[in-house]
Formats: sequence, structure tokens, C-alpha cells
Amino acid sequence: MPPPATPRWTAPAAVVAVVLATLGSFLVIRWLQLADVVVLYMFCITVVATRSGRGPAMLAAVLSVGCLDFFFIVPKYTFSVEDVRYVGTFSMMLGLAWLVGGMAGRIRDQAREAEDRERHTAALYRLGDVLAQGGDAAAIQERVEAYLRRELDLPVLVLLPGADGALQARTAAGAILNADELGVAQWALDNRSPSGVGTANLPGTRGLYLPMGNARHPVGVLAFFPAPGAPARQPLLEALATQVSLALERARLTEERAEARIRAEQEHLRSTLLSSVSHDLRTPLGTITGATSSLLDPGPEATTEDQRMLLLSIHQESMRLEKLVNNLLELTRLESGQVQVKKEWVPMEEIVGSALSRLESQLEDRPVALRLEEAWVPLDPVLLEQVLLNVLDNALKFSPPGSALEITGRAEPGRVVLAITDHGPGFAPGEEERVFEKLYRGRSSAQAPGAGLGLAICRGIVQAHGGVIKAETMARGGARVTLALPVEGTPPELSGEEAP
Amino acid sequence: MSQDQPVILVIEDEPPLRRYLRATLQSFGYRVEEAGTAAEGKAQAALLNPDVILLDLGLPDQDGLALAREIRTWSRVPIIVVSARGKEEDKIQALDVGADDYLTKPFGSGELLARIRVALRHTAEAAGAGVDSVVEIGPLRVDFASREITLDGAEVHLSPNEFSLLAVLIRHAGKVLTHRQLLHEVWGGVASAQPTYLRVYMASLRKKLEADPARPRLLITEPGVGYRLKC
Repeated sequence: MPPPATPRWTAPAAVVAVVLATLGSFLVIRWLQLADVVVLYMFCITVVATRSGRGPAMLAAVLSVGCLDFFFIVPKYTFSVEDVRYVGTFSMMLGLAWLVGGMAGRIRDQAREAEDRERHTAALYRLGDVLAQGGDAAAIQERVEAYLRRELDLPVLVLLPGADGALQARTAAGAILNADELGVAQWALDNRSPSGVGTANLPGTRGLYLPMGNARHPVGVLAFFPAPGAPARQPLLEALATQVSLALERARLTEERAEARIRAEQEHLRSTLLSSVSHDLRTPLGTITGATSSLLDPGPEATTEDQRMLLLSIHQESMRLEKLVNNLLELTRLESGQVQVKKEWVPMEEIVGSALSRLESQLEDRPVALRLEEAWVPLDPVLLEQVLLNVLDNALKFSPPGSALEITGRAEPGRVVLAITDHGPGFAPGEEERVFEKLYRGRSSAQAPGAGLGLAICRGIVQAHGGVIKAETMARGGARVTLALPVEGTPPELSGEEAP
Repeated sequence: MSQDQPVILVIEDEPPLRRYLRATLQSFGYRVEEAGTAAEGKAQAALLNPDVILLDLGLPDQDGLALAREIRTWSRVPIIVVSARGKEEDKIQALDVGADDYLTKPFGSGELLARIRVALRHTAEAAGAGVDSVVEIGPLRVDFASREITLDGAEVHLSPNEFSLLAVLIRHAGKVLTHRQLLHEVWGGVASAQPTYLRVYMASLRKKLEADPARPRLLITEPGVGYRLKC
């Protein structure tokens, strides 16, 4: 809320008041004495004085004297005065205007000051609310700047030090933060003492810089850019700085705690992953090493068929290793945030088709029932293919050889729903959610190879698309994995030239 | 060793992989030459005039992509990039600098031999009197002279853009074509041409040429990279 405008020279109001008093006097002079008319003018001067201050009051007094003399005092319609006692009346009217006007001004100033104080208290109080919303340092920085700029009606910047302790420059409308100003701000932070305009330290600047934090943890600097000549409100600003500083300190501690927790979690996951992966890496490597050494140095009774069997197991184990390594790489990329979802409009049949042709050899003896509605979906084709490959790979792994797979795709308002169903035993009750956790392996999968990474990758990718993935067991048995992907915007269409 | 055996130059720094490639390719009747570094590979390529180059991207002395670009400045020899970098951007980059095909390690012999056969056929076609005016791929028969297309004997009608898209894919049958290459060849680098644009035509082409568009037999998607006409 901006402070109310300082009372201006409200001359028109004074003139209007005197004109009204004169007209009023003409109306009542028939019944009343001249003394009453004088009182009427005095009343008018007092009103102007209390409303508009000394200046307008003096104007009203001069005009009143003029009118009174001209219209009511004999000789009428001249400015000459016959009776000397009226000179006294006139002086008293001017004196009254001077006194009341001055007093009213002082009272108004005091009221304004009280109002200011109240507003500042309210501002401080509401700043508490603004800060209570929490968030990281950057969020606090933005919220505080916006709030204080509105509240104080002057440019405010929250300057935070970078990793090297040097304050980082920011810009805002009306705030000039050149190298000199920034240097003075840095001085405030380094010496933990206010600097800039209105202070004893380096006052030749546009900005006022209040340090936040203590010697061990300098938090930053609160910078104000008051208009030249505006009243100093340093106590208020310092109170604001203290509050902001506390909030920033709190944000830093929260961040540090969260980081520590994440580090601990990562450490735990890393060790679990390591033990799981080293098992999954060693097993196929053991087979490969063993099989190759017996091929290189075959026993006397070894048949060609034996050798073929050995070669086959080497081949299978190598493929298993490849899958594991790919999954590990994919998961690492997903978790490190390196994966960016590049959405493009893709027809549902194209994405399903590319996954199916990638698995062509494994699907040879499997009837696949495909029911896809025609739909275009905004998705990252590379990532989504990975999801389908993993889900299909699971379906193949956990259902009997030769059994059928069903793939359905429905277009619903605002999304598409893809479901892949097999005819295996399904998920054990209660593990429908857990199968998407990293390194979780279903109870039924004890025999099948795998590290429990595939579905975790699927969930990561689907969630990065803003979609949902879920697992369920059908009433007749068989596992179903359903992915729902959001469809926003309009799919592309054939241009007119090409329409058949 | 007869002279008409196709010569394959393997530029790869890993001896075990070189050994595997030599054993496999020789057993299928190819002559194999090896180079362990980019510099050696460059010299061999100029000296031997091979029929196909298998190029590893992770060479010790120079990036394989740079070598491919360099060889492309003076030779049309088919280059098949063989790399452990499986990311789509790498594939696109390799194809865009002029490599003819891309294999991600690990790969099976069947896949490798198929790609080599495609590369050799393209060389033969380029050396011959150009593409035949009639091409048959599986159930598909395309007569370029009369622009007639039949599928299992039944006539198929394609729009002009669909026809040019199919023609480009047939001209490079078996090869992966990146989105950019296809857009450039069919639409000639119109700024508005986007992969999405391409997908729209590919979807309608599939509808006309594939029995089940979700299980394509001819028009194969390489996710994130482009398309390939299977032959």
C-alpha cells in the first residue's frame, strides 16, 4: 500500500469554501448580526485549516477578509474600512488560520507516522507469512523481492553469495546494480555492517545494503533502492532483513538435511545394486568361461552335439549379459537425469510395431493378438520402445512357451491406454506395486534370470512422460501391464494436397 | 585367393573383435583386410580400394566419424559403422556424415552379413545401368516407368508424396535412412518438414502396403533414427 499523498496546495478548495461562506452570509444577514457572519467565516477558515493545512488556510483567511470587507462592512462594495476595530477582527482571522493550520498539519504528520508504523508492523507480520511458505533459497529470494517491492513501493533485491562467497548480480526494474554498487553490497556482507546510502559506510551509492547472516554463515545482502531524499526507514528495513535472513538460513539447513538423506539412500541403493549386479554378471560369465574352456580343450568323448549345446549356452548367456548391461546403463541415465523426454507425435501402431519387430525372433512361436485403435500419441519413440521391450520381455519370460500374448491400445479422452497381457501365472498377490521398485524381483521369478531393473526403468520412463503404469493379475490368471499416456494438443493431419 | 572375392576392410582397434570378424567373414567367402588405427585405415582404404569398410567409431588416434567424413570426400565405398555407442544421436550423426549403415555392438553374424550384402548390392546397382525400371520386393512390385504399383497382384494407388517416399526407400532398400535424409530427398529441405510430417505419410503408406500396419513386413521403423525398407 503506497503512503497517502502529502497534502497539496488545495487552493481551489479554499476558494470554494470562501465562496460558500459568502453566499451563506448573504442568505442569513437579514436575520443575524455582522458578528455572526464573522463567525461563519472563521468556521470556514477552520474547516479549510484542518482539512488542507496552513497554506490553504491562509489563502482562505485572506479571501475571507476581502469578502467580509467588500460585501458586509460599511462602506459596502469598497475595500476601505471605517471602523478601526475591524482591523483587529481581520488580524485575528489571519492568526486563527496560521495557528489551526499549523496544528492540523502536525496532527496529520503524527497520524501519518502512526499509520506508517502500523503498516510497517503489518508488513513485517505479512513477511512472516510469505516466508512461512518455505521453499529453497531461490524461491524465497523471488518471493521476498516481489513482496517487499509491492509493500515498500521501492526496488528491493535479495543478493545471495555464490560458491566463492561473491555476491551474484541480479537485476530488477529501478535497481541499478553496477560493479560499484555490488562492491558496496559485498562490503556489507564481508563486514557484517550496513552500507550504502543513509549509512556511515560508503554512503555515496544509490542502494542501501543490509547484511544477513552471521560470521560463520553469511547468508546474503538485502538491497533497497530508495528514491533520492526519501525518509530513512532503516530500523524497519533491518527488521525485515533479520526475518529474511532467518528464513534463508532455515532453507539452507533443510537443503543440507535433504542432501544428506539422499546421499544415504543412494549409498544404500548402490550397495544393494552392486551385490545384485555382481551376482547377475558373474553367473553368465561363469557359464561362458566354463563352456569356452571346454570347447577349447574338449574331452575325448565330446560329440558335435555337446559342442553345439555349449555354444548355445554361451550365446544365451551373452545375450543375458547384454540385456543386463543395457538395463543398467538405461537406469543410470534415467536416475542421473541425463534422459530428456523428446516428445513427438507418433502413431500408436508405429511404436508397437517397432517393438514387435525388434523381438521378431523371440515372438516366432507366439500368437500375438493385436487390437490397436488408431491414435497419435506425443511420446519419445526411443524411450517408449524401451518400455514396450521390457514389458514384452517380461511377458515372454514369465508365460509358458508358445502361449499367446494380447496387446490392446485404446484411445480415451485425453489419453491412450496400452495393455499387454500374457497367459502366465500373473503376479503374486500384493506385489503389483512392488514389481516397479528397483531390484525387486517377484516371488514367482526366482527361477528366471533378471536383476529386477526392467519394470523400474519402465516406470521411470512412463512417469517422465506424465503417464501411469500399473500391473495386475487377470481373473483367469495371466499378468497384465497397463500404461496410460497423456495426449495433449492436436495430432498432425495430412495436408490437403495429399488427402486421398 | 581369387580376385573376384569382395574385399572388406575392418578398421577396429580391438583384436578380439577383429579376429571374430575375420573368421566370420572369411568363412562366408569375403577377403578381409585389417587396420587397427584410423591412420592405418585411411592408408589401407586408399591402397586397397575395398568393397566395404567396417568402421569402429572408438579408434585410438581419431574419431571414427571424422574418418568416415574424410573417406567420403574421395570415395563412394560403402561404410558400415560398427560401434558400442548405442545412442540414437550417434547413429544419426554417423548416417548423416555419409556412413551407409550402422551396427551397434554386440551384434550377431546374421545381421552383419545381411548389412554387407545390402551394401554390396547398392554398389553393384550404382555401377550398373542404374535402378531397373521394375523393382520387386516380396509381394510388392513397383514399375517406375509407368508409376504402377501392385501388391500381391492388386493395384495400389499412392499420392505423389507417398510415391516419392516409397521410391527413395526402394532406391536405398535395406539401408537405414534418417528422418533428415528422407525429408531432404522427398521434400527437398522444406523448412516446415518435420519428422511428424514424415510419420503421417509413413502411416498412410503402411496402411496401403502392409497387411497389418502394426506388424510391418516392409516398412521398418528404427526408433529415433529413421526408416528402412526391408528386403
